[in-house]
Amino acid sequence: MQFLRRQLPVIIAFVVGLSMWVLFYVPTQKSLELQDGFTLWVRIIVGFAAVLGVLSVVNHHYNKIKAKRPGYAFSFITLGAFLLMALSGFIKAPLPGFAAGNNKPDSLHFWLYNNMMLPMQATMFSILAFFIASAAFRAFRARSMEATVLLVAACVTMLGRVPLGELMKLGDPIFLGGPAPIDFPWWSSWLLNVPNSAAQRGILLGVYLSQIAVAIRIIFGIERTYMGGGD
Amino acid sequence: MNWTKAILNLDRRIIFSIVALVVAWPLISPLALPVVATPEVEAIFQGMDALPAGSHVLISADFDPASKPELQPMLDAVLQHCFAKGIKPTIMTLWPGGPALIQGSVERAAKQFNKVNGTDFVFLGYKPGNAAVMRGMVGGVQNTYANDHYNTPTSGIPIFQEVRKFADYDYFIEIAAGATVEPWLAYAVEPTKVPMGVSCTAVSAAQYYAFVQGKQIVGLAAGMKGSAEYEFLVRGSYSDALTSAGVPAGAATKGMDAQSLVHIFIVLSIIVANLAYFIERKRGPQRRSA
Repeated sequence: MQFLRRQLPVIIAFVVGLSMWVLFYVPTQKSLELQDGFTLWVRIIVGFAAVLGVLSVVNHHYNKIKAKRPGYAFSFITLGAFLLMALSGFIKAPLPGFAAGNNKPDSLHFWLYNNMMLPMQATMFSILAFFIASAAFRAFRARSMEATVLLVAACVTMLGRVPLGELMKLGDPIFLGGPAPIDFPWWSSWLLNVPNSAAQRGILLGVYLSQIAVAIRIIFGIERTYMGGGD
Repeated sequence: MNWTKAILNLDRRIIFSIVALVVAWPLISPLALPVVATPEVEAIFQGMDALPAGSHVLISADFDPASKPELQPMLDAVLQHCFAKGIKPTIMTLWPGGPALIQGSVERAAKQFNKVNGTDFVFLGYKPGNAAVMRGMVGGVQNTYANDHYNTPTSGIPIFQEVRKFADYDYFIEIAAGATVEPWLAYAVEPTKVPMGVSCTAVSAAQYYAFVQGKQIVGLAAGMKGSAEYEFLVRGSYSDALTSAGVPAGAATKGMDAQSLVHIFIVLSIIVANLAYFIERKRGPQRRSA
């Protein structure tokens, strides 16, 4: 049992991880076929993960309703909406007032998607505009040098990335072929392409090197937290 | 209470109301502000426009309704560009919430330009697995997608007699609401050297400028502004084709008025709030409490 729970996953991670690593750098037909085989397995496992996710959500809300925890009424809505959306996707027979199938514009699944899921998701995301405006008004203060630089950069970028800001140009070029002192698109582009890109490169290199380090730790069995238990 | 205190203690509901007004006003009464294409968006457009008719383009539309206002106009404009130029797009998605949204765009554009499914375009639909699907597309489209979105076996679709794997595509457009740009680069674009153009949400755009400079991606269309720029370029070059197909003005171009005013409002509110903050700070704690 200990072998299945502890050693076997480490052996699988070692063999598969090392194989994928080596195969990536071997441009032969056999190597490509093996990579295709591995990626097919990944897609199958992802399918199981989706089932696991569904079970986890159902279990969580079922327990919440059973224990009548605060807000359990919302769990009824979650489970009901989940069942309705899933069933509408599986049922291919025509329902009263709707076309048969699940990928036709007149089907129940499409109706639910277009009239419920789409406006609700879009609404959730659009609320951000209100919160950002409120947060910027309340919290964006030039309290220090760093905050001032951030504030000025944010304002220039916001103005340089909209048509109205593009119309705001004032003054002569500060050097030959350069921008005017007030030329929001130019300064916004400069901010994104020079200081931003430089910082992003540093961040990305750090992230990728860390990912490589974590991958090596997993392949060689040093990092085992993915198996649970926190060791 | 003096004006600075009133500003600093402004009820958030007033700010919300002003934002709502500022968004609604230009949508009801458009300002028709001019859109100018940036070099990053123009590069994506030119890359596609340089392809001869009959070329194949893969479009991975990796977004869902949350990003609809920013990214669906880009998908619409790219499809209009493809169909007006006689380019054959293959459309796919890695986001489970996306297929119905993308299907709407694909079917609308195909109807406007009288294009036939399977011969002029293919919609492959959703496939779970992100990097595994990307890697699978490099190995072979039909190995990854046995059927298209309409459950037609890909082995019988005419387009797949001409393109069999990712490397056979002449151009690749990634429309991303999340972190799918880098995996596409690593698993598909770099090994095959297929040119890639990226459209992404405005909040994630900052991280991709480094890839444009490194010439790993051809260009970048950021947020609704990027989509509006692409719409502007397509309409500028294919005005007759779009008019005869009955294509209405782009949604992103219409949205630019509202976005312009909201940005101006936020900048002004930051300036006013900071003025009030500094005046109040200069007064000092004793005078503030007096």
